[in-house]
Amino acid sequence: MESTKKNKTVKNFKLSEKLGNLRAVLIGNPNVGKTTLFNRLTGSAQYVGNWPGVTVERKEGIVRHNHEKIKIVDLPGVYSLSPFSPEEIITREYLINRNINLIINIIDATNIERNLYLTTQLLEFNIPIIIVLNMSDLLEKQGKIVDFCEFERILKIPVIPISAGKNIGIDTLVEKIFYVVKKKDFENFKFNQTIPKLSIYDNLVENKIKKIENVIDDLNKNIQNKNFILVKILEGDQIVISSLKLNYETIKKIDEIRVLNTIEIEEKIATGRYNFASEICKRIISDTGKIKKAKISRKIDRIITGKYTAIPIFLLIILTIFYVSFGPLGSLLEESVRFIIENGISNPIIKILEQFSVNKIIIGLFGAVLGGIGEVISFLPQMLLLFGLISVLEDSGYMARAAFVVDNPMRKIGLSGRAFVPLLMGFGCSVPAILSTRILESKKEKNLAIFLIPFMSCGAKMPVYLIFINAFFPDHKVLAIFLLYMLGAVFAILTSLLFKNVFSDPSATMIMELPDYKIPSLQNIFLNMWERIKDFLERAGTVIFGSTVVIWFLQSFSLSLKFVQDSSQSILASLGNFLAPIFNFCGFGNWRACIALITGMISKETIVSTMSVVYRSGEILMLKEALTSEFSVASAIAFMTFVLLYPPCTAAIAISKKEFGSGVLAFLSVSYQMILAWIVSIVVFRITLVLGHF
Amino acid sequence: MEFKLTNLKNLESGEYAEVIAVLGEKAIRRRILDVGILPGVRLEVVKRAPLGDPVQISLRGYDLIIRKTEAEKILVSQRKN
Repeated sequence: MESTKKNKTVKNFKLSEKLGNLRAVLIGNPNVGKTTLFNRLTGSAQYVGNWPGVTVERKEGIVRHNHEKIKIVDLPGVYSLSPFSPEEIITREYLINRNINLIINIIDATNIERNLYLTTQLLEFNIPIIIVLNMSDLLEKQGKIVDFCEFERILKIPVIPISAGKNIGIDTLVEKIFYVVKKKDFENFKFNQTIPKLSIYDNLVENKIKKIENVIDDLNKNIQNKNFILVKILEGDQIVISSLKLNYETIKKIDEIRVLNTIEIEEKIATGRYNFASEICKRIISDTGKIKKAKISRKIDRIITGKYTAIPIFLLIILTIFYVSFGPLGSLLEESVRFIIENGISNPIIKILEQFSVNKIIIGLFGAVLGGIGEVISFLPQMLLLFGLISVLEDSGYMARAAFVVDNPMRKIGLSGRAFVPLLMGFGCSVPAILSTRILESKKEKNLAIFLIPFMSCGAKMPVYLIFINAFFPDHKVLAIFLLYMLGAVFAILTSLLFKNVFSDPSATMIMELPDYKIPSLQNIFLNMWERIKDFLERAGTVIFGSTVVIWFLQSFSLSLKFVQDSSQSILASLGNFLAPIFNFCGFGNWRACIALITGMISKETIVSTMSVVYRSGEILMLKEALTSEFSVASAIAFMTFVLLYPPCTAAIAISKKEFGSGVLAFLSVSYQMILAWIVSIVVFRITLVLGHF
Repeated sequence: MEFKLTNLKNLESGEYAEVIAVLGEKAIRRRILDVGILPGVRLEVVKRAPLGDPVQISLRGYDLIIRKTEAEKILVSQRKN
C-alpha cells in the first residue's frame, strides 16, 4: 500500500512542477495553526510526500485566485533556524537554495513575542514576506488590542490578521499573496534595503557582522541571502561555513573578528532578536483595560494536570476512547454496516446471479469476495471513531498535557512523554504511528518507539479479536478487548526494558511548548478521517480483494486444478497442512488458522476476510459457528495472543525499515516479534488449559 | 534586598526568578536559548508534573515544559525575603 502511495506522490510532484513558476513557502512555529491555514489555502489541491533524504513530511499545494495560481510549500514547524533538528535544517536549506517568490510567515497572534524570534531570522533573507497573524479573533478575549498598521509600519511588510479555524481573513490573505508576488518592484518588502537600521543586534554584534561582510566582499563571491549567511558565520554555524568553501586565510580572518567564543556570540544574537521582538510588542500591543480573565488554560490545567487528578484523568480519557470505539456505540455501528452490506448488497447480488443460473463456481467466487470485503468493511466505523477521537485529543492541546504527565514513567522505559503520541496512534494504524515518531528529537528514542509501536494493537487487528470475542465471550466484549490491548502494552514495556540499553540516549532533551487549549477544528478532524477512509478503501479494492480471490481459488481447487467441494482437498489445505505443525503447541495447528495468519502479513484485515472464506464453506454459513466448532476457548485466546504480538503488515514493516534507516534493525524487530508471539501464545494456551481444569 | 543564586530545578511551584546564565552542551544550550530562556528574562515555575518531573514554566507570555536535567543548566537569581 505504501509503495503505491509513493508512486502516486512522485507523479503528482512532476505534475505540480509544470503548474506555474511562482513559489511561496508557508513557515511558522509548531502549534500555530499552520496545517489549518494550509488546508484553507489549498483545499484538496495538495500533495503529501517526503523531503529527500530525511523523513520529514513535505506538503505542497496550489493556491488559486482569478485563474492564476501559485505553488505553496508547507515547511516544517520550527522555532528557529539553528542547525540542529532535521526540521530546522530542511527549512534553512530550502530558503537558501530555492528560488522563492514569497515567504508567508504565520504567527500566533496570542503569542507574538516568541513567534517574532523566527521572523527576525526570516527577515535576513532577500525574500518578500507577508506576516499572517493567526487566531486574531482571540485577542479580544485576552483583553488585548494589536495595532496592525503600526506593525506594518515598523517592519515595512504586510501584516494580515486572520483566523484560520473560523475561516476569517483568508480571502484578503489570498489577494495580498498574489499582489505581493506579482508586484515587480518588491524592493519595498526587502528588509535591510528600505530600512537600513532596524537594528536587531547590539553594536558589538553589528560591528562584527560589518567586518565579516568586508572579508567576504573581498572574495568577490556571489552570495545570496547575504545577511542571513553573515549572521550564521558569526554564530560559528558549521553547516553554513563549510558550504561556503572558504580558504584557510579567510577562516583565520573571520576567527580573529569573532574573538568571543561561540557561546557568548550565540547568546548575544539570540538576546538581540528577543529584545527586538519584545520592543515591537511593546509598541503594537495594548491592553483594553477590561478585566483580563485569568488564563483559562491554567484553570483547566489545575484539574487536567493537577497533582492528584492528572493520572486518573489520563486513564479515564484512554478508557473512554476505548469504550466509545469498541463499546455499545461502536458495536451498534458495526452491526448496522454489516446488516446493510449483507442484506443490501451481498445477498441481492447472489440472488440475481442464482436467478440467471450462473455457473456455481462463479457464484462461489462472488460469495467469497463479497463476504470477505464486507466482513472487513463492517469494522471501518470503529476504526474511524478511534482515529477521530485521537485527532480530537491532538487538536485540543491535550496531547501536550499527556506528554507532561507521563514523561516521568515513560523515561523509565527509555522514552520521553512525547513518544506517547506515536504509541497512542499505534492503536489506530502502525503506518502513520511510525511516521509520527518524527516528532521525537533523539534518533535512539525514535528507533525504540518504532520497535514498540507494533505492540500497540492496531485497528486492523481489532476485527480479528471481535470475531473471536463475539463467538466466545459475547458478554465481556469491552473487558476482553481491553485486556488484550493491555497485554500488548505489557509486552511493549518488557521489550523496552530488555532493549533499553541498546536504545537509551542520556543526552535526550524534552523542551516543549504547552499550547493553550482550543476547540478542535472539524475540518482537520474530517480531513484526517477521510485520509483513513481513502486508505482503507484503497486497500479493500486492491490487497484485500486480490487476496480474497487468490484464497478462494486456492481453496476451491485441488493440486490437480480440479474444482473441489470439500476444501480439505484443496491446494490451500495442502499448503496449510505443511506449515500447521508449527502451531500445534499453540493449540491452533490446523491449516485454516495457519493460512489466515500468513495472509495476515499482507494486512491484518485479511485475516478476517480469509477466515470468512475458508471457514464459511459447505454447510456452515456463519463464521461465528465455524469458529466455536473449530477452536476451544484456550486455542482462541492463544490465537488472539499470536495475532496481537506477531509482526505487523508488510506496509508497516516497509515503513519501519525506512524510518529505522536500517534493514538490519527492521529484520531484528520482525524476527523478535515472530519468536515472541510464538512463545507467548504457547504459554497462554497451556495456562488457559490448566485453568480450565479448575 | 537580598538575592539568592540557584538553578531553575530548585525553585518551588509559584516562585519567580530571573535568568542569569544558561550552561550546558552546545545543542541543548542552543535549544534553551531558542525558546527564549536568555539572561535577563523573568520566569515563573507554574507547577511540577504529578510525578515530580518535568516542570512547567512560564515566560514571555507562554508556557513551556522542561525536564529537571535541563532546568539544572539554567542559573537563576531569586529575590529573597
